[in-house]
Amino acid sequence: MGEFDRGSVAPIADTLARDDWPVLVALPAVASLFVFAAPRFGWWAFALAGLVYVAGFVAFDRTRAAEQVHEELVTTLGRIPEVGGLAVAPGRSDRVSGLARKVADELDLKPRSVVEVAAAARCGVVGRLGYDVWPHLRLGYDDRAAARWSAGIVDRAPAVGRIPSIVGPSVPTDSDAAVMRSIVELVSAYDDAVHAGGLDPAAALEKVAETGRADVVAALATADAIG
Amino acid sequence: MSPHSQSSSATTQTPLLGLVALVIVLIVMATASWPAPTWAWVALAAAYVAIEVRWEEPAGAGWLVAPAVASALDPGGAMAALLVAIAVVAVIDNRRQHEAARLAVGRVVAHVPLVAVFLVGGGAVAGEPAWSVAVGGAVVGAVALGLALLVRRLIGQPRREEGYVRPLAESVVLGVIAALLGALAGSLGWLVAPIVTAGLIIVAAADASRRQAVSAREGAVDSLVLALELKDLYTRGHSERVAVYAGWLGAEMGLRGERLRKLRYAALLHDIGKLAVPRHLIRKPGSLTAEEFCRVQQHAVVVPEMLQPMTFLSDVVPAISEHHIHFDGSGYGRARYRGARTSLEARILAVADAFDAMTTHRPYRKALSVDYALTELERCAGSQFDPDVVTAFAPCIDGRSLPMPSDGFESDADARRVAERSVSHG
Repeated sequence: MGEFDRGSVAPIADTLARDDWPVLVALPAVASLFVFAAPRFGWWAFALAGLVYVAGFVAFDRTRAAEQVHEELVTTLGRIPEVGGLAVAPGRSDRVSGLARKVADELDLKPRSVVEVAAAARCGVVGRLGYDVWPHLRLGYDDRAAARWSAGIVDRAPAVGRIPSIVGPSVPTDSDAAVMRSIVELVSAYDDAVHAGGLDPAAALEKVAETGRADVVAALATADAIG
Repeated sequence: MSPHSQSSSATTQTPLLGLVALVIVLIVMATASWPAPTWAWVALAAAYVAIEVRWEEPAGAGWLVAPAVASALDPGGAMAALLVAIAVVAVIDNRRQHEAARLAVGRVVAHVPLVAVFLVGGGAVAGEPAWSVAVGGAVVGAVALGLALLVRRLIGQPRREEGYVRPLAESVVLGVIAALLGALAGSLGWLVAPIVTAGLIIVAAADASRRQAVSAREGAVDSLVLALELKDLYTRGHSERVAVYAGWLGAEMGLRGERLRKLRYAALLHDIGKLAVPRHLIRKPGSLTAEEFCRVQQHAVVVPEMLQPMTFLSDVVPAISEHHIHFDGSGYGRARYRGARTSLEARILAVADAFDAMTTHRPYRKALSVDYALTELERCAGSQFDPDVVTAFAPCIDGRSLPMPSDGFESDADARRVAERSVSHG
């Protein structure tokens, strides 16, 4: 993490990473609008500035509502494999998502990427529903068909960012997304190895390290140790 | 049913309609003497309606009330600027999959010509009293909405939302804002251009966010439906057909607006609990053992837990949980209040679900005829089904083209192939 405390600037960074930043930037313009309009319109300037302000508020509120729907969908998609009997133990989605977030933090990904990688990890295995019987949970997240199903399901929802490409079967061309994909794969396989395969954390880490990127494996080792 | 299919259809037709609007404007410009207020106004109104009907993103249709208002103020100068605006929006419209920052820049660029419209057109009313400018904007906003609704009806395109009060109020407010901004720009010139731009972006964002919120909900439901279909490929399309029947029934029984929309969500997700049922039980050809039947019944009970994170579906969950509870109180499921009658939505779902189940292939039998299904519904009215709902159902399907039932899959491989196609093409 270094000497610089990312926590202190996280709210600002999160704000700038929002899709609706034009609304946030434009809101102060309402005050300027009033200043210019008052000499020309008198009391009508209140109406003009007020209406524009309300429009901005409504836009912000609706955008936030859409984001909330997206977050809720990701949570629900994460639950489905659990209630569908496709994950060995309840709470897999929470565990994997939390661990992915820690690994992403260790790798100093951007705040938006941290959010996306946590969401992708949470709902990344919903595609296992496409199997008649999920044969080998111990295989973890290396099955292309399950990945394709997962990407297809998530892709049905708009505004899910890069999640479909992260959980899909093809390696993303975007280097940032490629790292995020690697995090999701590794964390998912690690969780399956521990909770489905019965391995202890050290053995599980050793097993998944064979296929994962070295920097992500190192971050996973640190993040898991932090616990 | 997919919102994506609707939007791709709109995208396909957008260039054609936009082109027609542009041709109209160009013809008017070439034939009418310059400036030509009447013809220019008609042409601009046509362009506005075409865009309002087909162009959904990125700037949102609402901001186009602005040039409509400005054109009423000074159509000649406004027209040229609007042409540029249309071209810019057309370019942006073809790049829907871009990142947020590029979208935001696109919005700003798209509004530059609009600000020019205001600067050119606003001069005509620069000295007018504010109240008359506002009233003029309100009238133009209302007329613009009326034109858009008229054209939608003429071309058979469904409306974006039910009711008239809310769309009218929004359009009137947009018109007032646009007119006042135009008058302000006309009075103060380029000095206020950035402020006017910001104001227009805010208004555009408000308009676009309405569709964003709706499509987020539709997309979430769509995702869950696909997840269900992956679990149970053999009943693929069942959810969509039940949603169609329930929609017809709901409208017939007086449901409107948000309640009808939620009934559709409930119909699409009425079997979502099957995600918690083993696949071999869902598709078992023979009769179920008592233990197996108990397990299958769980699909109606686990729904509240499964959908608990989705707050916008909280009103929908009771109908899903109750739709297997019979009219006489028998059946199974989770009722909100013991002994109370289930909701109208649940009773509608029960009929729609049963009708589709009877008229399509099932793992254990071939599809039954529509006449047989209607007779069976009537036979069970008063016990399993609400008699009022059953009575309303026959007129609903009479003369209508029923949704095509899915073909019976010969094998898992067939079913998988169809579902793979669905995932690949959205």
